[in-house]
Amino acid sequence: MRNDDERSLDDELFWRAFCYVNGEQTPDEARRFEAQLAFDQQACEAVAAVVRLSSTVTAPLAELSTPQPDMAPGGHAGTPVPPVTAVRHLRRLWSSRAGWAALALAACLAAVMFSLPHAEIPPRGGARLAQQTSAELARYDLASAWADVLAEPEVADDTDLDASITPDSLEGEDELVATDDDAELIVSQWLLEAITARAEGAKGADGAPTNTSHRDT
Amino acid sequence: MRLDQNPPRARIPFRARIPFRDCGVTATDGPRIDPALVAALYQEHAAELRWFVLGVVRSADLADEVLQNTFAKAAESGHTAQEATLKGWLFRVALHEALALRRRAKVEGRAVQVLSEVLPPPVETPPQAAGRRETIVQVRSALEQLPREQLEVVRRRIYEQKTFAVIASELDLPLGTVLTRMRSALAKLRQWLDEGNS
Repeated sequence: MRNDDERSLDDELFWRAFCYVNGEQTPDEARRFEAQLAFDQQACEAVAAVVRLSSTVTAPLAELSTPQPDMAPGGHAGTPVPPVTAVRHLRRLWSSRAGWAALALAACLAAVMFSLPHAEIPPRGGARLAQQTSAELARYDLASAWADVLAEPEVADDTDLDASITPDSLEGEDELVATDDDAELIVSQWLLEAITARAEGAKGADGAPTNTSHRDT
Repeated sequence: MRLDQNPPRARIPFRARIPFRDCGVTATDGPRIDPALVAALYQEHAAELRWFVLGVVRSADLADEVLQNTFAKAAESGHTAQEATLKGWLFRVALHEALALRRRAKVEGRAVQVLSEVLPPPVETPPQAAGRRETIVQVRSALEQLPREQLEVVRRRIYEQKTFAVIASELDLPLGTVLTRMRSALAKLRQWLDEGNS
């Protein structure tokens, strides 16, 4: 068991050895300490103890410090950069033009990302009007097409009609019906009125019904 | 003087007439120390000796070279030392070699800056390695018991390799405060480690 004086002397020697090993002594102090090493075995053992303690403490200190897997510029994979190096690197990056350019690019990207959800919002004003107009034009085109088909006088009977049906024409019909249910409903109302008006006009002119009435059913 | 770093050649014949049983020297093929004793010295002291040399030369490569030269000298002229003082003799020879090599390598004044150089010695035996691992666990526990401000100084000095002046500047503290914290932390760490080892 060491007494307090011995421990204090030992701590003093250890402290001097620590300063010597870590280059914290002046050249004069270092020379004097090396002269002491030549005859003082305790001083030699203190130097060994300092190096041993430093190396032993380094691994746990690394664990206690931030374990960021930063990479040194040009370093090998898995080689962690000491924290001080990483901070210096960040500071250099921040102060450089490239750093500012990267910041501007990031701001632009953020702006674009922020504006993306607005595409889901229904259009207002002119955009909404244009959308409605194009829908009405589509309905008008559809109605005209149906009217043209219905107005064909040369189709005489079901046999001719069946013969005129080809897989291509069916495909087009299916597509038409399947894609625009709303338009089909509107065309039906319009169709009824148009056919009724035409039939009445034909009666008034010829006094005889036309053979297009079988398509109403 | 028996504790001589470089004994003159002229003394060897004289010493060869002395029975060297006490220091393991065999007289069969000249005044040399018993190789088995050199091996035993290496096992017992090489690790501590390497820590010491590393503290002087601050380079792992140079430390290994010094260690090799030291034990070559021990094999050649270790018989000049008494067995009781062989450890001290090894340290003195190592210091002499280290200072000479450091002057040649022009690394004087350099601090131990590269952490990778402070590695466990290659001569570490399995029990020593196991002990070292255990020590690391103890050190971590000891570090966690340190006051936060002391731990911060220890981390910056030993892990980040900053000088006390830089640490004082960064923490905006007087240099004396930083030194006191470091010294206090080192004393606690040493005490805890000594208690843990005993």
